[in-house]
Amino acid sequence: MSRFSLYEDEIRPSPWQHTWREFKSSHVALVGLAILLLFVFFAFFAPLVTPYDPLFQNTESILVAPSWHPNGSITHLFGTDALGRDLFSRIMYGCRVTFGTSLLVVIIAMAVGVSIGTIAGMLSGVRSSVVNHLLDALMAIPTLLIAIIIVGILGSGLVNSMWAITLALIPQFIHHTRTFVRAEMKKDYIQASTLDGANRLQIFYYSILPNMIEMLVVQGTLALSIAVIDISALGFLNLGAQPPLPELGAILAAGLDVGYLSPWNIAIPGIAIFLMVLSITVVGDGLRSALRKRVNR
Amino acid sequence: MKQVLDVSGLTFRHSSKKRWLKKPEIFSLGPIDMQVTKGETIAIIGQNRSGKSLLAKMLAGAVEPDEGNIHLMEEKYWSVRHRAARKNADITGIRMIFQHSSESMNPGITVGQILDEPLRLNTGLSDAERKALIADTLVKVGLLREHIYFYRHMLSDGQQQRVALARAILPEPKVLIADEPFAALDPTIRSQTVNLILKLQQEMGLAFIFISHNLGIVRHIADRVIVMDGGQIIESGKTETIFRWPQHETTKKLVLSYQSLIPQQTLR
Repeated sequence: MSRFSLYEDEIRPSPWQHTWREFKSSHVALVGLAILLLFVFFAFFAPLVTPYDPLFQNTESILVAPSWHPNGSITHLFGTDALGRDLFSRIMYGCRVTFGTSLLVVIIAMAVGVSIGTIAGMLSGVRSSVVNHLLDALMAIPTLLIAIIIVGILGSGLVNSMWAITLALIPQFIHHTRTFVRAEMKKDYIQASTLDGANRLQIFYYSILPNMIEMLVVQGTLALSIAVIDISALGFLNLGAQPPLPELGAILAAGLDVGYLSPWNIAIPGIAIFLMVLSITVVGDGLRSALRKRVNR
Repeated sequence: MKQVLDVSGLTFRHSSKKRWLKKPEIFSLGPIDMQVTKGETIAIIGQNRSGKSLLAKMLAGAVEPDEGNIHLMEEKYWSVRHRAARKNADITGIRMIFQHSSESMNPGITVGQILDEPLRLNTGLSDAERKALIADTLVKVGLLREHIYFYRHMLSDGQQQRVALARAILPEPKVLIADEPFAALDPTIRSQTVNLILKLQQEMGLAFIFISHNLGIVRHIADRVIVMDGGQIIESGKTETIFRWPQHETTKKLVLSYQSLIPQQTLR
């Protein structure tokens, strides 16, 4: 175009700016995001900000009360555990282990599940049904139970429990992706793209994926909260992370032994897990409604 | 006059075999023969379930016919089933506007991205050239350049119809097929759209085949009319001939129902 165009000068908000604008309007979601960002910060920068080594056992200050307690001291913000390790540092590292591994598990499960689900959704007939209904049977069993069975076979340990939870999470991603892709393939705009000569990969990338983000956010956050609970549950049951490793579930289990002497050893890791799951759910919910409003308003 | 589209013996039949857990379908279409010349406007009329939409989809290549051929400019036009054959052929010669323009727009991407797709897949134009062409086409169909940033939900029904039209005419087709393009529009927008299509048809010389229940529009813009019933063409001919001297019983009923609103004319 040789003419100068006024329209190009105006700033057009990108899809993500639209989403952020809608997301901001929900205060609950913003608070959830702040808490979640705190956990993300711990996950990435725990070694830089922790006051003590999480494994360092200070025998001279065992079971120190938290700082707000009359007997507590500010040197140990959340007090210490039965072996004299600083609880604040352990919680930070615990967030790193629990949240980081959950995130990793969900990303792997999502990548695998969405790929298989998309292939199953685009195929038709028996091949598609086989993939779907075989995994539907698995979906009837809670993920934690499947994870315990897999850990029982593989043996305990954090890495084994991660594999177990990944495998347990994949079926739900496959199921939801397949249902979504199948519904989408029937739409007129997919037919129009097919008439334009788009192959299946192009249809998926350019036409289906933009609409799938909302579903992915919902399923992703759901899976993330399940993964956090499962990893800490396995840690609590001594099937996942093994004791010296600071993992929130394992810290909780260790605190149980001295629960009557120092209840904060149970309460604080418990609150950390609770806040983590809550903030993930709240942010996921806010993100979903923001994405929905973006394409409906 | 040059023949653009040549359809011979187009047939579609649902499988009449009774399969496991599946009722046999009894609907069948064709065989249908029709010729379309350059710049011609053809209207397909008929009752519901007469196979009009199916015929339109078969002409556009979205549904594979069981028998028969479609030749566009003396070259075979393949349906989507023949992926390999379509790869080397000119597949933008026949373009279709779907029945519900809102459902043929992807809600997750912008108008610009929707319009970019046929060009990206079928032409070797660069990004900047495509963008310029899209902007020009939007202006051509009576929208603004800035509409490329809009999503489906921001546009009204009439604007969505224009986007569907823009998407159809972008790769400069020879034949435009529309399935009830004017059904959901109010009279003002409808006349605007009709005039717009007629103008574009004159400019680009494309043949326009459309399905409509609105016999007023059919009589106004169509050169020829095809009347369908039960999957067969029961009557076809020049518009005035069909409207003045309908031969078939169904055609008479259709025309009468329209004429009864305009009492001046009587049937001979």
